[in-house]
Amino acid sequence: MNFFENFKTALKSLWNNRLRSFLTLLGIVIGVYAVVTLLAAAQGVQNQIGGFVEDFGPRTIIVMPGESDSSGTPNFAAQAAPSTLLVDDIDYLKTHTKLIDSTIDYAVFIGGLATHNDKKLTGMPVGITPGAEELFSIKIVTGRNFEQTDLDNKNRFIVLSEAAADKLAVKVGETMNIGVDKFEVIGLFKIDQSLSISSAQGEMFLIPAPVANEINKSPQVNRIVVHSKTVEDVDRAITEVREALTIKHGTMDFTVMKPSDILKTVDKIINVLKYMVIGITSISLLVGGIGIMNIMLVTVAERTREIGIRKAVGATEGAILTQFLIESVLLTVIGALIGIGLATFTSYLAAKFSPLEPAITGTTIMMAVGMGVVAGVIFGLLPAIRAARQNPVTALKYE
Amino acid sequence: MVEIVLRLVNHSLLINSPKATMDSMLHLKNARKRFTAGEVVNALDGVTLNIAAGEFVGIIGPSGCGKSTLLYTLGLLDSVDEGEYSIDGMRVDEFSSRQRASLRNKRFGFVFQSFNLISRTTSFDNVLLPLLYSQRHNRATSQTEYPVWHSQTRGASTKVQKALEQVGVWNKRRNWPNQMSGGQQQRVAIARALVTEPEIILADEPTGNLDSKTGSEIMDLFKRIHAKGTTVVMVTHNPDLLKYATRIIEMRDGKIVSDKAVKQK
Repeated sequence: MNFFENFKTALKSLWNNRLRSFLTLLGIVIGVYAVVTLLAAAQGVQNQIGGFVEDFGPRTIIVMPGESDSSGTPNFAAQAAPSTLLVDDIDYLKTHTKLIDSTIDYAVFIGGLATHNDKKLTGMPVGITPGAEELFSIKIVTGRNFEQTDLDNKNRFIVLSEAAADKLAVKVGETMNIGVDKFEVIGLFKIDQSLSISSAQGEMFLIPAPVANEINKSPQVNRIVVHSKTVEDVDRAITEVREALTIKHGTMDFTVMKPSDILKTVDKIINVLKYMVIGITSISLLVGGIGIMNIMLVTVAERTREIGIRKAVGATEGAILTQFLIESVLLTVIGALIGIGLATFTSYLAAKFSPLEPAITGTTIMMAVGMGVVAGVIFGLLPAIRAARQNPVTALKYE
Repeated sequence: MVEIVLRLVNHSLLINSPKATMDSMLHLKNARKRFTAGEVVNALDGVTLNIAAGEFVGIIGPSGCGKSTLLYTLGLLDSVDEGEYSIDGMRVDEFSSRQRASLRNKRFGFVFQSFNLISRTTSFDNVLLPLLYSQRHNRATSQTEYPVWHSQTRGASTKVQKALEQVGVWNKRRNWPNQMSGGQQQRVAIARALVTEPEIILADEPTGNLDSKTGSEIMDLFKRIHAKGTTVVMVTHNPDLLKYATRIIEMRDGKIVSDKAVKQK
């Protein structure tokens, strides 16, 4: 009995009991579907964030308010509190560091409802210096961006995302409000990454940073963006910035990191999520596997006489064992393939109709198929051993 | 270790040997077999028996006398609790389950009262089955140096056709067992027993489920098979069938009570 013949026999047996096979498959299908879909979603988020981070240059260093924990993970709760970073920190860095470029950018978050005529929009107005737009992955499509003179003159100019402009029905050259303050629209931009720091709908407003400080009546800044002079010096520059600001603040109430650190943090979180997903879906695979074992035991009992016949014509215990194992593995692998197919379809729909971009990797597929094979072997082994151990004489008399 | 190697060598010699010409091909000595089914039954109670190549042995006796157990023991489907069993001088009672499976495949063909064809499987595939397992045994004993990937190779198809034609049901090759009459099913079962060209056919009440006309057609088939030199051992409770046998063994309570050669009419 070679593999091909065993395979044919297994397929025939499964086909002869189509409904039963299908229902048994469902457990595995659902388990694999869940694991592949959720892993694809997690992978998608990871890719999107990775893509966002890659938009930063390798020399970019970001300073955020709030201390970080010992592992370097920034304290995201601190983002809601008043910022610990001030405008004069920037001047201090310019004079007290050697390894960073003299151009230092920063961003200031402001509040306020965006209005134009009778249209209103809650977006995310941010005051920036020209270089800080790196933080938001934007691309000007109409009009122009800020220049240094706009900042120096504290011009009340605003650039906003196309999505925001559409909702407010505002064009370049027109005037709109952020809270009570009037701004002239000078440019529209497109957001490259749906997962940049912008709000989910991509409704974002940018104004010159000094204007934002003026409106906030505060010298607080929310992000400082510096660049090390060389790529090799990034890590030393981070240390330098950290030490300089610690001396100035008297305490380390801020976080200095490079974008790849953010990626590391995100990766850490998503990897934990992935293991959780695998863990939880393993339970459904276990349930599915028990179903497989149950049905295989029934199959072995039903085919006792056939086992006797096969042994009478010369089948060894190994041949019988192989035959039933192939049948259970085939069952689980078909289940896994259907699960992968459904997950692919779901991911396609999710990519089309939601901002998510699920990514099914080769590793995920191999893992899903592998899970199927392993489940088939584990849960098929006991029934197959039972089949192989049948006494041929008893089996032949089985009614 | 040496013993294992010798046994393996002997084993491959045994299953590849040409048709035995010795006087005693099957030799059972003082075989005992007990069952516990409510009470202890002595299915074989010190049976000693020699069967030579070319015999047509009929085993007769009341039900529960141990005649089927004797047949299955001879065919290596069952094993004895005590005693020795040799085939061509080899102690097969000491063989592993794998070696026994190989011997069953090469040297024995079984025919059962209830046909025992695999359901929802064509006649052709039923007859092909022993050949599929013999490929594996051939590989195990290194008869073929190349792997056999498909049953169609090495003339398996031709052998199946020959066997089905020999019993006259080649036209039923695509039928499932439930699409055939009892007689046709038994012919397919006989073809399955013949397809590996075994030296010994073991038949357990082969006409028990058939009407007398079909039964005698099947018996004629056995007669022709025997005439070609195949040893036949048949268990029956129908004395009419014994006219085909060259030797009649009568059993009672696990013992052979009479054993006599008869002249064929």
